[in-house]
Amino acid sequence: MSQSFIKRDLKSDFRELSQELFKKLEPNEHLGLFLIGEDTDFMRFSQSKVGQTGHVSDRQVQLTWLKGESTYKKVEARVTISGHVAADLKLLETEIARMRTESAAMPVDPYATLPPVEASEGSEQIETGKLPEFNQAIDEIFKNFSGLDAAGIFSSGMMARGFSHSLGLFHWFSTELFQVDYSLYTQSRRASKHSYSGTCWDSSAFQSQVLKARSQLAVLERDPMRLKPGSYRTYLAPDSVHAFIEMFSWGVVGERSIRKSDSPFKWLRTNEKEFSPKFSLSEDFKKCVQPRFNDQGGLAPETLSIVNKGRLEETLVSARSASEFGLESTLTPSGYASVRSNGANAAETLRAPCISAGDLKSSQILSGLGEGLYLSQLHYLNWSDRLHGRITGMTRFACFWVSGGQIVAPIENLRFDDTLFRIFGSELIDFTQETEHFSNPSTYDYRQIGALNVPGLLLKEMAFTL
Amino acid sequence: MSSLKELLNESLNKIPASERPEWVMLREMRDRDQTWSMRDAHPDQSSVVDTRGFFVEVLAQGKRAYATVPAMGFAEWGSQATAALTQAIEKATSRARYTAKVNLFNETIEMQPIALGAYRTHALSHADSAKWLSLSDLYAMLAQATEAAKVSPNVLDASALFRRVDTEILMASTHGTEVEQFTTSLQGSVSVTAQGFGQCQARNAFFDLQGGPETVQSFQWVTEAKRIGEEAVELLTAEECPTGVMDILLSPDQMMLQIHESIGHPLELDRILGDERNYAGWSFVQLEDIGKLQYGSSLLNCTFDPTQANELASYAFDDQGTPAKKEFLIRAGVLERVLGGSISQLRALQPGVANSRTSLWSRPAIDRMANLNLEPGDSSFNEMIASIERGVWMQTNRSWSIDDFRNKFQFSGEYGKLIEKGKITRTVRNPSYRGVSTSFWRNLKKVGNLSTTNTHGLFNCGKGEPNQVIRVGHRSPACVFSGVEVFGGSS
Repeated sequence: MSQSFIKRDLKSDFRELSQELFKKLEPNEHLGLFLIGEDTDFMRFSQSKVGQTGHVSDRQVQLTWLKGESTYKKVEARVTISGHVAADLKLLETEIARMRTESAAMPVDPYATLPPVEASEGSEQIETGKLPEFNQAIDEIFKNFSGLDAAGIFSSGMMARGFSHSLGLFHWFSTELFQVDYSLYTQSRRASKHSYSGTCWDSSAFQSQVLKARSQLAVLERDPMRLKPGSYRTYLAPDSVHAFIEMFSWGVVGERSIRKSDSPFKWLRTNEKEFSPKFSLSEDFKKCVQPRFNDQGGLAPETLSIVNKGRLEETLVSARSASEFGLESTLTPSGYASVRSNGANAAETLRAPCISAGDLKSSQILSGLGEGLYLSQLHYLNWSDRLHGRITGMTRFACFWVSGGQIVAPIENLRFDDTLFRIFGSELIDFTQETEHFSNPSTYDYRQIGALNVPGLLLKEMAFTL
Repeated sequence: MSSLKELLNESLNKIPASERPEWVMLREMRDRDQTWSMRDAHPDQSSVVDTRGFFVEVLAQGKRAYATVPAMGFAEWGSQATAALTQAIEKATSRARYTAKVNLFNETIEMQPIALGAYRTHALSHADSAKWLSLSDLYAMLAQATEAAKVSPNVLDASALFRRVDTEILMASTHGTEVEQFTTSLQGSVSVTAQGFGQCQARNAFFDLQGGPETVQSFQWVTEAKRIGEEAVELLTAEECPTGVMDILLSPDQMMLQIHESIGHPLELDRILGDERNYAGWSFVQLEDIGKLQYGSSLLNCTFDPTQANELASYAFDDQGTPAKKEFLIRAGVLERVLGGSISQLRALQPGVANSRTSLWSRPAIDRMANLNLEPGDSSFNEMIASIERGVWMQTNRSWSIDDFRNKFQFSGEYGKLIEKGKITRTVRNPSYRGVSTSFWRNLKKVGNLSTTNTHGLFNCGKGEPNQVIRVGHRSPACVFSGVEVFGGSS
């Protein structure tokens, strides 16, 4: 059974399932279905040997059921389905019947809305690739890791997302993606972190990456330096910048958080604070390929400028926030009121974040740093004071002390505690010219689709506390 | 129960004997997770997440491998289930055979636990659903709580949530395991955000327990909502937590994160063995520390206890079929035992506990915390306060961060009270502290008695590759720690 046959079956099955369910809706009922599908090979490894390995097939449908004419009662359910249409139809009909019964007991949700349902906003995006066969992946991965202590996970397979609505909307996205997310360890328990991901497996590209990573291990074996808490000139490699950008999805860029007054972006909105004019953050679905549609049928623009040269331009606005805060609304062709958000998901999190590159050449990073910290990767960031943009976290993989523009030694781990307004503001010297692409490795609940694209960042100083 | 065993046998029998794996376990898991919430007296969420399927695990040539089949049990699917499961066994067997040459640990059939039995959440009759609140009463109760929290115009946002997770796990293996476990896990919370005076502060009150209707009704929704509304407003004009090295008194709802991050995770044996290095991290604990390491002061007694009836991670067997019982992990401050399931124990040649658990039908079992508790001591709350010359009493965790070896941490609470010369004086906001696990626990100065103890839990402990988020329980008294670096928020 070829990959393309699987994808075609899944899409047409999803469409068929949706249409059958739509036929059974009662007056003034609206139904949206969001499909999550994957067929994934997983292989977890440690000490360059296979730990847990297996294959996960998963199919889930999220139902969003609304009843009403201009205001609605809303009930949601996400249900595992088998992939066999007849059996799944019965299962979902039972679930909808329960939702219908439950709605009788609940009050109207004043902020529930229908998705924008112009048919022209339907979409289809099918990304095909050339994935390695499982056995081939095993052979190549462990051949390249020979003699190394490698830990990590290989994941590979098809992922699909679909959205279908009773008012006529249909979106489809599928991709074939592999990822080798791994770290290499020295005898002294220090490590560097790497990821090889994409849609087309290239044996020589993977081999080159591992060779380069292998050659960098020697410096990790040097005796580590223990630094005192204090402020240090710092270079944040792209993976470290990545860690900060992920924090923007935690109550920062969402309109609701700003209106609730616990987002540090509220200071940007009132012009009481600003970022460096060198900092521009956007959502860019051309660079970070993934579905533009969300689980409620909203469609994000291809690009959305959030911070432009240090100033706040847009926030992420879900349909619910647009409704709650009285933002722009429109009537659909069918005559139902629909609020137009900017396609953000319900949690108003970044899905395709990109930071604009700067002028710092890779060859000039160490000389530009001079004396200070080179931080390849950070760990376990959390807010110490979210309202003021203060974040704490730890240094982790491949972090070094640099002196005279040369890497001297790895460092013992350090805790930092500093603010977004310093890191992307007053202390920002420049971003690198080169950016790095990171595929989302998260597999909580199901394998996630997503990516971000960020450069490295040179700072005048960053505060370390422990 | 015989139907799962029969299904396993029927599926396996379709494979020629020479091609079968040496051992197969079939696990059917269903998790029905329902959440209802109100925000400012309007419905915010009414959702169900119903995940289920079969997890097939095989042993072939000493290698374990798995494959999954999504959705519904045999009763709903009929003979199609057999065909799908046969394919899954074949796929898993093929994976196992090919990776046996690079196997991390060679397993045998004799290593696999054999378990027979059942478990059901204590004091909950599944047949007596009439005692649960009706949906309309539930919505009314949640709305009332959000209204009660709005004690002043400074309260911007108030929400109330009730969540119920019903989990069924059935397991059957080719060499005799037959287990069924049914749990009902409940979460209730009231949350408030207050704004004013250039500040924004949040307060939460919650419960996270296994239980039944009585659990929901015993939580004082309106009283708690009012209390946290008042406290959130109070925080707006409170002074910042002072900076300095001093004693701290931690309430159980802050202790739970302290225990979780700086005892639970570092003691997970798969972490100690290095399996989590690429994601969740390693541990400062090494195998040679077991039985020797002075983890904390002599007041520190920490147990793995699956027998607490209402705690989130109580069960009779772990998800590999090992019978679960209470064990001391740390006794009088000395590390005695670590959190490792049957296979990790064999790899490390160390005793462990029944903690091999999965969070989802499509994930393999890995070493997890379950119920990880600090045993009560002798000190009353008043004695603990009186013992502090200058310090801060911190309640309700709001921020947590720790390094990948589980040593350097930083935590923050929502609400603090200054303690001066043995008396509680005034409220402080953004109470925070940082430290190093090994020295922090050795500075455990006082452990509260049973009257200071409370049972909490977390629904979202994350680790593993592929990732898993699981429920854990933490029962703890209030505790005093000396010589801790304390600080407040930004001005």
